[in-house]
Amino acid sequence: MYKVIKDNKIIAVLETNTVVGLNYDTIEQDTEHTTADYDQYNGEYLLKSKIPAPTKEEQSAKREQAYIAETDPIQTHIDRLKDGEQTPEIIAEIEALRAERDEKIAAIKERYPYTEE
Amino acid sequence: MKIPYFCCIGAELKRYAKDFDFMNQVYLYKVPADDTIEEVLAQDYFQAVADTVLQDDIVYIYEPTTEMLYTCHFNKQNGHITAEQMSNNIPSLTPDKILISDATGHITAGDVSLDYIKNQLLAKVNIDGSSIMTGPLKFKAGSFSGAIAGGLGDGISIYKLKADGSIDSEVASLTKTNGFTPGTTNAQNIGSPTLKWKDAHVARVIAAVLNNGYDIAVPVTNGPDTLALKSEVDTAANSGRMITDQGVWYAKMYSASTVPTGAEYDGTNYADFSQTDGDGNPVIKIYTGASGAWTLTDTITPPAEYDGYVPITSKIWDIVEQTNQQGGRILWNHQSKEFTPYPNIVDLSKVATTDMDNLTSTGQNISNWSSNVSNCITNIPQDIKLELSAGTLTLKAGSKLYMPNGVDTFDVITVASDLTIDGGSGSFSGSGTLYYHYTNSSLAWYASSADSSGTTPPSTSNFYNTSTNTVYRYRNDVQGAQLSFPLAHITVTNDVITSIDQVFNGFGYIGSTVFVLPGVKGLIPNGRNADGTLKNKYSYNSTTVKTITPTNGARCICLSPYSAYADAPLANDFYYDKTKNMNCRTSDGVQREYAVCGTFTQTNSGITNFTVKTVFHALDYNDTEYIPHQAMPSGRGIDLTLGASGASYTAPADGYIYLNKTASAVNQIITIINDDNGMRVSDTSVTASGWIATYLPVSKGQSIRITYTAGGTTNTFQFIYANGAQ
Repeated sequence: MYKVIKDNKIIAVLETNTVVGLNYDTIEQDTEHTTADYDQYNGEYLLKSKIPAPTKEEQSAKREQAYIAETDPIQTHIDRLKDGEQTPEIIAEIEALRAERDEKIAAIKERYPYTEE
Repeated sequence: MKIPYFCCIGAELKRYAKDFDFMNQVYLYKVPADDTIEEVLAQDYFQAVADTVLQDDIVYIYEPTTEMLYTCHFNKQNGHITAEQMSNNIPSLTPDKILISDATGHITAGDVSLDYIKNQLLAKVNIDGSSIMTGPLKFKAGSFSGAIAGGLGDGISIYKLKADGSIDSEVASLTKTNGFTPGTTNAQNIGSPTLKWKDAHVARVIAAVLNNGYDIAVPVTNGPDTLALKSEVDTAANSGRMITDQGVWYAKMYSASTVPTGAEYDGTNYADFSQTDGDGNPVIKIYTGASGAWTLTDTITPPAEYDGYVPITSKIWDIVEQTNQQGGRILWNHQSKEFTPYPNIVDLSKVATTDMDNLTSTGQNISNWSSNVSNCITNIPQDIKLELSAGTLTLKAGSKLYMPNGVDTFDVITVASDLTIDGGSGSFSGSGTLYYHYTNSSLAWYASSADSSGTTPPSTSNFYNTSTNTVYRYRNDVQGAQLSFPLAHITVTNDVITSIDQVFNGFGYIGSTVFVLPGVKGLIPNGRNADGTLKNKYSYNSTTVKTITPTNGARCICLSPYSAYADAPLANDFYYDKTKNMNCRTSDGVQREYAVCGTFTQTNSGITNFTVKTVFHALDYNDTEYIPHQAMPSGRGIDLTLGASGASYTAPADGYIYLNKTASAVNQIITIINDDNGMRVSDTSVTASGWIATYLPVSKGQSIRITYTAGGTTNTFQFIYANGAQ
């Protein structure tokens, strides 16, 4: 693989040494790693092992965004159903939505774990 | 025998002298009455006369008793004088009178008074403008005898004389026709190392060798009292006088051996004209002063001639730009290796009045108004005439085809009657290449993906063998029909020819080989004329087919004026300098005499993006459909390399940056920012896995920055060329 260097930062990791359009200083071959060993972090590519774990505040913020996008609509749906007549069908639907919401919450927590946990 | 008088002309005898105050070096002498002629001769009266190297027979002696006239002869070898009797039949003379001869040596008057002699001498030698001396003026100084003679041509000459008074050699002459010239070439100096002329005011100096071939040490202080070389240009600049109504350029020259110091050092240049390239051709090395050292910054190969001269760029001289000026010029002559610096104001705002009457829609006959047109194609023969109708492709009668048929051999085939072909059968969809089937005298098309070139044919291919200069169809390693060069690229959809995509008139390619057909003409930029209009070298691609098989890279198709060859340099190896009107090499700015005809990309799998310029034609402002169309996105694009968020990019041409990524979560964003003008566009994901895409128009060379949080795959990151962009 090849590392594309600009201002002493790795700005791209490529399978070939062909770069088009991107401004760079040098291209270096890395025979010890693959592109899968790298990931972006703060505008550069670092070995995944070198990427610091996200803080709890960072993960919490990401969870919050995910909740807003993924679970809040379900909760809103549940709240709307609860405001109406509680027929067996409605109750069943609410339970289904709750289950779906809880699955998403769990998935979000798994996606953005707290290192302390 | 008594000798009362004699006359001597031109001597400086002081003995017995009776000076006439009206004329230098003319004396009348009276001999003592008791001296005989033998005594006169013996007493060396005439020794000094001999020293003057006068003409023979200049002195006459009259003996009154016998009334005999004697002529004295000088023996220039021994200085002796002998007397010879001339006549005894001459009039009597009084003691105050003397005989005098005319120019032929004959006695013309027998009774001449001293006043008469005086008047005669005045008439011959007076230099107050009232008389003209016709004979040569001879003189002797030490051992050197010389003469100044007029009446030779249209001036006077200075001669060195032999001992006998005849001409030895010409020293110099001053004539109306040739001016002040030496008697022999390259042998005499003006002044000497210790005796120098002060100022020389000459309009122009042309020297075969300057300073005996050594460097000229030129003072670098640009003060009016210290300039050793001062040109009319410099004078004009120092005085502020305008050489032309456009203003003033002036140049300062620094010698190769004298290093300026101080403020005049940095940023100045000097040129070394003494060097040659590997082929022995003259090159000019340009050195630039910076931070206390001279650094070689440029090597200029003097370009082609113009009236025996070529213009040299301002890099050779420290050209000092005056207000509102555009350029200067120095002339260099290849053959004589001489350069002539002088200001040549080039006002780029001027546009010559040119004859546009010959302009046609196809650009024909533009050579005589090309002073405003350059770096373009002026003619592409439209030899291949194709028509597509209802899936049937027709090659019209009269079409002219080229078939490589052996080394350096190209058969020209003129189609006698229309040839047709359709999409065939086989459920093919894709790009096809049209050929002329030599064996069957028919048309044939094959999948373009099978086109190739080189020295070893692939198993199944339409193969141009660069060694044998032939095209054959191969199938399962079996050589089949001989083919022409490709005629066109077409699109076939489910066995139906649906479009003609590119006709190879003038230019075409097969596999990795570009071919240029006869008759292509172009204008090769070659600087500017004195009035600022464009100067060209007219390129003509001769009558032969040219082929090029370059290595990988983004390349240009170029025509050269010499030997009509075609070339395919890397596109970034040179650039077009609009100010100079020259294609220049990127590495050193040296002119490349190319007409750029198109572009293509060479890859391991062959040529792609093959684009040829159209023949030049003028742009009509009223063509409101065509003009805005040039700025719209075309179907041509190149994949870009997406770097980390925040990385920057440079637009390769006028066009559009387009990014399409997949989000890995909602609210992820992509943003394209033009750092040159602040324009930015963004797109945000509204789902956890949807596509987000945006684009931004950019101009060539602008700096683009892309930030993104989208964590999914990059679906498309491309630069899309504008229609009018190359």
